[in-house]
Amino acid sequence: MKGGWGVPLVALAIFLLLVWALTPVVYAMLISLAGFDLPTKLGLPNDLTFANYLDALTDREVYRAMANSLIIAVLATAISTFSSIPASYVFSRSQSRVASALLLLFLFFRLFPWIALAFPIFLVMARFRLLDTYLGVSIGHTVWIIPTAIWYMKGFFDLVPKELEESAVLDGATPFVLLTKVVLPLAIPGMVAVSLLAFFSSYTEYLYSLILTRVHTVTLPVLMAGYLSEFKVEWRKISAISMLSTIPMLAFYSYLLSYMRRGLLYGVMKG
Amino acid sequence: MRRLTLDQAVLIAPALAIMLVFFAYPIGLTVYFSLLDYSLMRRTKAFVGLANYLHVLQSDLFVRTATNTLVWVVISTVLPLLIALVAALLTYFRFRGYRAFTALFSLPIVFIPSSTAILWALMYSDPFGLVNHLCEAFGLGRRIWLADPATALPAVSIANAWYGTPFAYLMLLAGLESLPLEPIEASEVDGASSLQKVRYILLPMLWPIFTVVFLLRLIDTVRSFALIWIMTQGGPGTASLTLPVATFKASFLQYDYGLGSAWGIINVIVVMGISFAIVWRRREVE
Repeated sequence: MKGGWGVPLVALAIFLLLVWALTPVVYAMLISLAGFDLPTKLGLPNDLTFANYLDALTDREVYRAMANSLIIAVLATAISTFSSIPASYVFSRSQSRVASALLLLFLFFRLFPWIALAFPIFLVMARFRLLDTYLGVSIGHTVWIIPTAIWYMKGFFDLVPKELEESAVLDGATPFVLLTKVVLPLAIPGMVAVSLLAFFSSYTEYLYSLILTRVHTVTLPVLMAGYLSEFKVEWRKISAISMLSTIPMLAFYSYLLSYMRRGLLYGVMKG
Repeated sequence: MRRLTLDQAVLIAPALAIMLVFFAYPIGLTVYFSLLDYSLMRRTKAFVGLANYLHVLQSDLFVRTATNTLVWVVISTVLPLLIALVAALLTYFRFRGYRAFTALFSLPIVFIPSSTAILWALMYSDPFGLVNHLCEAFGLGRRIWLADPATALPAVSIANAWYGTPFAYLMLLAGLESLPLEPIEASEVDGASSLQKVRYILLPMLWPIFTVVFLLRLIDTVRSFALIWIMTQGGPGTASLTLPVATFKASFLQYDYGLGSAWGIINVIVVMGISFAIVWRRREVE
């Protein structure tokens, strides 16, 4: 950067960009810490307290929903990685026309407008008696995780050199042994990335959770959305819950940033 | 090996089975239902051909929804991409503290859509919202932003723009960092200023990546449902009704599965149109 107006202009731009990104966060954080009176004009709340967080965490409904979200996210991660990893290995190695046609199909699935599937998937789940069950909701999430997981995992398998497998084949290894003993150990970073992708896709998902849950499996996003339609909105408490809901993402924040910089998680965590 | 071996088929089977039962079969149902007069309220289930599509496409509601979707898409695509572009270019030049900037500027990604909806509903809320506090401080008067037909759609679109900014930023930044260094170094030798570098070298080289990010963002906003649904439910009235929200309302609020499915297929057609543009564009980039 040259001298003169350059430096102050850049500083101003950086300041404005941070205002854009952080204002709603800081404001909601203030409200989540506010005592009895919420500010009705520009200014800070007059007393700060952690009571709202305590209030949120001791609410049975809230921690039930947090637990549900985590259980469903773990199940969805398990189902989607166990099904997509073997498939993506085949897609990476096979040159058959069937495989490449299927792969293209999965690309189409990735960009699919999920709303078009909402009603029939509700019917199918009802028919299998999977409505309002952990398995049902996590399968609902899995349907839109698998296509993305397959494409990314295929990318990782493409990087594993084929020579290793060729020598293993000469030693008489079957494809299953090849995958578990030779290829997977080399693709562990990819598996970690895909598991995180699956976990966060499920954790943030709203539409299918809304449709497929009723009473027992209500997830955090569904519960939180419901609070906004209540007659008297409890801003302090729901701001506190919003802050608490970020914990899993904050825990993996540096991972998330680096994955997203590689374009890896694009399309995840979207409304 | 031009054919799929048995072992390979076994490895693909689990993923394929899930997609067949919970994707292919339901999408088949959607197509089928879209051809029926199928309503829980009117207790009908009869074949009517393309009548549902004609009904949707000729309705005032469709015109309204299409216009709303356009406004929603333009605001929540253009705004974050421009902001993200400025942020990514600045970061690319590595000013002091750029790492901290990246971490802070990307912070919205830790919020799930429901939290984002709460954050922004709070910003816009009437006695307690910051937007109203600011408006009052500048003498503009308070508004009920999300309940006013004139402001509801722009208000939720801005929330969505906020949510989409870090994604666009990180992708554009990655794009910038993947560009070859030689042209920039050459321009430095020629004594180009930072602005000249941006205008004549970085922007033209970034353009193909920028269009891909733009198209991906376009698809994500066209098909996004959560934020609008949670903040306004498409209202007040039809003021913020977009394609996915209209689809949801037809099936789950009016229990008209025939019309709902037709709306759903219209969504698919729109998104597929954009998808083809992406695939075609990617081929050009690679």
